[in-house]
Amino acid sequence: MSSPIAGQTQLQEPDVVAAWALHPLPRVVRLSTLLFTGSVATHAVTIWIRERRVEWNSAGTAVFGLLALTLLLPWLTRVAARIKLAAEPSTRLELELDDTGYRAGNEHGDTATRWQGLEHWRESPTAFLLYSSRVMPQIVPKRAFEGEDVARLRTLIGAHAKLQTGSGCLVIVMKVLAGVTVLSFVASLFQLLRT
Amino acid sequence: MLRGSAVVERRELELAVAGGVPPMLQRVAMIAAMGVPLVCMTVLRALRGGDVRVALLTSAVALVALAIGMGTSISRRIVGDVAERSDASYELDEVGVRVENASGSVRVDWSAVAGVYQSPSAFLLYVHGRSPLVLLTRAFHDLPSVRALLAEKTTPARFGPRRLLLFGCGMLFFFTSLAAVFFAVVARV
Repeated sequence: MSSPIAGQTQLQEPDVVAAWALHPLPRVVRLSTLLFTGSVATHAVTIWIRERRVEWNSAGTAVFGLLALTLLLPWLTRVAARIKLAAEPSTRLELELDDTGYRAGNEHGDTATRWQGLEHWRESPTAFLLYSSRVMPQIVPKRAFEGEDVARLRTLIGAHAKLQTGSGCLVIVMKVLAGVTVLSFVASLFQLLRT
Repeated sequence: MLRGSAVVERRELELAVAGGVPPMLQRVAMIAAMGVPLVCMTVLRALRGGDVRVALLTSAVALVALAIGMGTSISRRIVGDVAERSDASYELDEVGVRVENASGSVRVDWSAVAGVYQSPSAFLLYVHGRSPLVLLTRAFHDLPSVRALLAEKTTPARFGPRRLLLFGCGMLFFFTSLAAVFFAVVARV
């Protein structure tokens, strides 16, 4: 049995935001907004090219969608992360991983999960996300560990659970739809230019 | 210290975290929450003499996407990939609660419990930053003492799982309706 890998840190807002960024649901919300914005923008541009007039309903909605994508959604995510952290009795996070499983805790309690209880894991540039349920991952910030321990951690987790790098069916469907919208936009522009 | 133990079936846990709403009904509710505004949008466009092909295509794609996404029910997502049947044990004392099952163990102080929802079959302990802890009532011999301890140390949850499910469906219905109204009334696509 190899020695346990232990670390401790404070859970911070960027940790939560980064964890949510990898979650399928926020990705679907972002892609849906992108799809909707793309559709109405395509409509507005097509009307402008054909009739040289601004179709305000679509143009306005497209601008709103763009603002939602670039400002509103990221801001809401940060606010939600702040609310989540404020509700926690403590943001201190003590972590320990070994051959049997992982333990995460603070002065208010701890969770010990055996590796067979881990469904899958994901990795972001700043953290490992361990999913024992699909709703709330255990965030393991990399900064809690020494340099070499991060590589050991990756090996240890990878030996016991499946790394999930894909997006899930719904996100893939939404990506395909977003791609079709972009293609239809390009096709309609090409057709207009030819005529 | 109050102790309890039981052999727990996954279906029991799934029903407990959803307030007794079966997984199939959860899927149907979510799909209906999105489907009803989309059907209304298509009918409205048809009544207004608009082109219903775009509306039909959008509705079909949205519903297929949702049906695929809801392939795993909400309660299964919360419970996780636990075994069909497994042993669980519970310990409650003045400091907090400890739950142990095949996947591992959880110990939380009462200060970390945001609220408790009681149903005839289970106590749901909402804990900050993790899925709710499920304590099956049939695991305890001295149920009145458990109820008394929970009443002393915790506060009742403001929203039970059924209300949360209803809230989720309501949000989906609201945002789909907004988009549907736009396509049916405003946009001349």
